[in-house]
Amino acid sequence: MATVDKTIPDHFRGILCRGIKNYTVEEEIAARDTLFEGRPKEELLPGEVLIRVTRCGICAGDAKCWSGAPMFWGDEIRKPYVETPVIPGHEFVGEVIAIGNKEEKSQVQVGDQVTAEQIVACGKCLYCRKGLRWLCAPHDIFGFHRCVHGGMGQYMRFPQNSIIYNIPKRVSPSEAVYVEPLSCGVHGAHRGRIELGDTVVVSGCGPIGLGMVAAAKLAGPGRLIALDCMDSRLDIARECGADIVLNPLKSNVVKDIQELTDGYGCDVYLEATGNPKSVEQGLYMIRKNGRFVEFSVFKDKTSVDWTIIGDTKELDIMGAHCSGDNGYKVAIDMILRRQIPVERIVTHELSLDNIIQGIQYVNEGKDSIKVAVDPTK
Amino acid sequence: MLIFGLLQSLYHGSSKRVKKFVDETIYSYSVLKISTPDHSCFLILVCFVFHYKYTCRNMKIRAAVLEQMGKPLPYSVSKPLTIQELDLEGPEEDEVLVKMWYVGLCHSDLSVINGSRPRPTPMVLGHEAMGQVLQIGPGVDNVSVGDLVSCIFVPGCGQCEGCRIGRPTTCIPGAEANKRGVLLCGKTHLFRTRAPEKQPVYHMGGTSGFATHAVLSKHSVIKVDPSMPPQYAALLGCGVITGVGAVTNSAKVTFGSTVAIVGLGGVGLCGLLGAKACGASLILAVDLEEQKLAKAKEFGATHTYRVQKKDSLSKTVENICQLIGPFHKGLDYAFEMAGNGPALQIAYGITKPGGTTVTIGLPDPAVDLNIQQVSITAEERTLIGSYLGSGVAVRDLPRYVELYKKGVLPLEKLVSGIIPLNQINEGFDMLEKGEVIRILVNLKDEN
Repeated sequence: MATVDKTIPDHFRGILCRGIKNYTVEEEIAARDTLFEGRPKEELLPGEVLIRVTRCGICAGDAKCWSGAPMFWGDEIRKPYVETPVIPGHEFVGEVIAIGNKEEKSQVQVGDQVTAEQIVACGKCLYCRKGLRWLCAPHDIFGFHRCVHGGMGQYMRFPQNSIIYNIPKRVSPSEAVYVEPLSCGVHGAHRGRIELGDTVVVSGCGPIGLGMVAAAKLAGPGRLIALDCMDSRLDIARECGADIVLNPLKSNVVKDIQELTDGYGCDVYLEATGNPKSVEQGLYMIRKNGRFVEFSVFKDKTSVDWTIIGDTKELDIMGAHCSGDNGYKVAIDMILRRQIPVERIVTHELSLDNIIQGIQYVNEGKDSIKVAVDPTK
Repeated sequence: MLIFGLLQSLYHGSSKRVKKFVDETIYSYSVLKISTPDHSCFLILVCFVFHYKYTCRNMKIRAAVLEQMGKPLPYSVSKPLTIQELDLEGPEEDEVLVKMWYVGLCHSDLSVINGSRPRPTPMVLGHEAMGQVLQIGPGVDNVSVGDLVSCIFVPGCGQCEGCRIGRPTTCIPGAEANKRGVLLCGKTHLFRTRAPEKQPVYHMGGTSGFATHAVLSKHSVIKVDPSMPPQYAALLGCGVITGVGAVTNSAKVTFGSTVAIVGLGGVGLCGLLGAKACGASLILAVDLEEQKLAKAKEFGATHTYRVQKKDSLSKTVENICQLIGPFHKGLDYAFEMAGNGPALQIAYGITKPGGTTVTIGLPDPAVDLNIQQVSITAEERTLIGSYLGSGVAVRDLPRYVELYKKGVLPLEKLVSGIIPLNQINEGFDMLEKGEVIRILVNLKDEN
């Protein structure tokens, strides 16, 4: 049974994803059908947590899902990933309003500001058993599967095997909404195995790339270089700790990096643009035996002479997905210590009514960096 | 003709060194002869004198010599190190002659003085050194005359298995030479002038820095950026590379990790700077002394713990684990940087299950490892030995210079004072008492 101070109303306001380009604001989402999968809402299972959502970010993944990207809706090879109708949103923060009874002391209390890992790991598949829960096979990520409705609504339920993080209240919701993207940036930077004094290049200064810049900075690189085609984003990269910023449209960045490194090339290249040109650029500017981290979701295929990976440069190519093992922990710590200017990265906070506008901001990527919805507005 | 024949047989009968000397003299003569056809005898004399002055002649130097290990404290009274005039030979092939500028007093020197790290005597100590190259022997390609260099006390020969795979700190010939107190060539180049017969004096770490001049293997010197203040460049070859290297090379601490440093002497503080530079989120400093912990806080420790000698090991470990809070069951990485058994036991005790303990200290050879064996298995522990920061000096030193320039490694905070050579015993007293971090001997102004 639940130990509750309050519980949630029978119906609440939120976004429903019903299909491609079909995200609508619903005034009366039935809590029982969505959050509680048909159970009575008073029967909160031990360890389940009810949240009143304060903010939820719009990811490039959400924007691509709205647009109809095959990785979400399926094609000849891939099965559809998203289950409709679902409340989208996996970059959320909120306040605990109820906790299912637990014999051992819960790590969170009613009233705490919390987030949960975007993935709710099953604990049973090969990846979970290997300690790679962010690669969990069933891959229940909030906002895409109906067992884990997302944060673009007034309320959420965290299932029993969610991993929940307390975010001290001196971090405002406008800042806390950046925790999930930052946790991904942290994981990407960790995958690069940056060593003290390394020359590190981050390509792409969107929310993930900027997170990678700030995280990479902590590892003590000798030179941290950020690349982006928009000068305004390069300014923010500087504030995140980049020593040097370069615009590939304005200079020959491969040549620049080679000059900076006595012709050897950079030690680490963190790719966060999702643009095939940035992949090629990185392979040319990285030194032999260097570390290339790929985080992004791509629209177009990438084509490159594959010889460069082995025979030419004996590279370490590392993919990165989600937040790894301690991405959230490090990200929350970074925000608490003001190691990244979050206020310059979360540029827009819109009401639920403006969801389509928000998605369009993200798809264009010109006047915004991180766009969030505020279900309380 | 007879004289010529005599000279020839003398030449062929003489040592390799003399032959070389004669060859070079004749070469210089032949070069000069092209430009000045007359006065050939005079020219030979000029060449002879020129060569004598700058090559084979034993150089007279002044050095702090340790005659005997184990003299009692205070050293200002027992004077274990005496300033003596010595003969310095060389540089021979693959060797360089360095005018010493600044040399640090390190606990490893102290360990030789008090006998806990036995070495052959008489020996010129000093290994954390920097200076200027005055002369290079044949085959020296890594430095030139006039270069400023930092010295590395484990010369990597470049040819053994360890050197070939990028681990020069495991160099076998280098370790052998150090143990015997000689240079990599297998000989000592230091001799006593006034002994009835030429008595060899031994080298420390292939360096012997407490001297006006030294001859080192080319593998023992790394060129240093001349814009780096020389007093701080002296620290690079020992304290910095050992302390920072343990964190960044041996343990490869990742940003966001939790780290403990046990022992906050000069090397421990460098380890602390290294942990901070690598982005450790929690840095715990552990020591017996309050003033060392205060310094550690200044350097960026997030937590400090003062060990009480009366507490048992388990009590100390329990207190520390309580200090760092309920969400950490021990630290990801713990570094022993004190050079004694109890410090390693503490470091091991506060490391989390599955965590990594690194030891850099060089205790008395009689000290055995004292760790509960079953815990290594049951808690899946990793214990790493880290020598000279597992570094590749030629790669690491320039990086540390860059990081110093960026303000990431504020080496100026490590230098407590600079003393003249004749105050060296007093300097070791201060080090022994823990009153200072690093003192440097100023040899630049010593002739």
